[in-house]
Amino acid sequence: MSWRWLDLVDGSFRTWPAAPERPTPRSLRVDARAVEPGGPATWVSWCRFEGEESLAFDDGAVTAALRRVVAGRWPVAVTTALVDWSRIAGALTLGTSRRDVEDDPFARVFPRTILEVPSGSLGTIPAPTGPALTRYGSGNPWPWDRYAGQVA
Amino acid sequence: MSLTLLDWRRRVAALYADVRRTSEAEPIAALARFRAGRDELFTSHPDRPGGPRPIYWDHRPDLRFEVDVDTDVQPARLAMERSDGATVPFTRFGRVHLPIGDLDVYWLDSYGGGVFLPFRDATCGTSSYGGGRYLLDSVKGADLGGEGGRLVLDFNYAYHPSCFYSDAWACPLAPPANRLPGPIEAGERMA
Repeated sequence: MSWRWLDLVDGSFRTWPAAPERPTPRSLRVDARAVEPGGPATWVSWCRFEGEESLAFDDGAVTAALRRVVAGRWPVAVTTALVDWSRIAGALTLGTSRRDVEDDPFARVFPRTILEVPSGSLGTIPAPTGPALTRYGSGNPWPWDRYAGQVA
Repeated sequence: MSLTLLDWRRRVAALYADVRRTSEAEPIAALARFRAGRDELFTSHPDRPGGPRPIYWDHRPDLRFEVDVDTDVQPARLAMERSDGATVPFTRFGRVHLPIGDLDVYWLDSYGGGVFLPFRDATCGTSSYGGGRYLLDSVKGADLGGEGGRLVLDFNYAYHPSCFYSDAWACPLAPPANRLPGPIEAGERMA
C-alpha cells in the first residue's frame, strides 16, 4: 500500500505522489487507494481544519471517530488525512449517495464540506480488517490495512 | 493475566464443549443453554467486556453447516497490527464452500495457535457490528466441532468481537475474502 498527497484546489481534488515535502501548503497524506480513479463514488465528505491546526494521531476525538466508522456501514472508502507522521488534520469519506457521507463521524471532529464528484474520479477502499486505531510513527493514513495483504 | 480471566476462559470453553456435545441432537436447547450461559458471564463475571448485554436473532436451522475444508488454497500469511505496534500473524490454510458463500479459514500463527474464522455480511453496520462477527476462534474456546477434517459452522453461534463491547480491545476483523454478500440474520445482533 502507499499514500499520496491530496489537496482541494479550486473545488477539485488534486493529488501528488508520496514525497517528504508537501506539494501545496494545505495538502495532506491520504491512503492512495482512495484517490485511485475507477471507483463508484459520487459523493465526498471532505473534513479538514481550516488553518494549520492538527490533532495528535491518537487524540480521543479521532479514536472515537474511527470506532464509529468501523461500527457503522462501510461506505466506498474512508481515509484519514495526515500532515506528517504523527498529526492528523482531516479525513476523506467516499460514497455513492449523499446519505452515505452525511453521517461521516469525522464531521464531528473537523469542519466538513460535502462535494459531488464524477463517478470514476476517485477510488475504493474495502472495510478494514484491523482494529480501529492508528499507530505512532507509522506516517500512514488509516486504514493502511496490513492484515488484508500478504506479508510473506 | 488473572485467575478471574482463567475462570472466564474455562467457562467459555465449557459452554462450547456443551455445544459440541449436544447441538446436533438438540439444536434449540443447546443454543438456549449457550446463550443463557453467555448472558450470565456478560452480566456478572468480573472479566466481562462491558457495554451492552448480547442480544440475538432467533434460531435459524438452515444456517448450520458441517463442511469439508478445501485445503487446496495458496497459503497466505497475514498480519494484523496490534495497539502496541506488534502484529498478530495468521495463515490462511483453507476455504469452506457454503450455500451462502465461501469463507477463508485462518490459523493463528502464534503461541498455541488456533482456528480463526471472522466474517462480515450484509447486516454489518445496521443490525450487526460494522466490523463483523466471529464464528470460530478456538484459542478463546470458540470451537463448534466437526470430525474427520470437517468443521461445524453454525451461524447461530456467531458473536461480536470484544471491540464491539469496549474501546479497550483491538480486534482483527474479517478480511475481504470473508465478506458474505447476503444478510446472515442469525447469532448475535445489535439492538
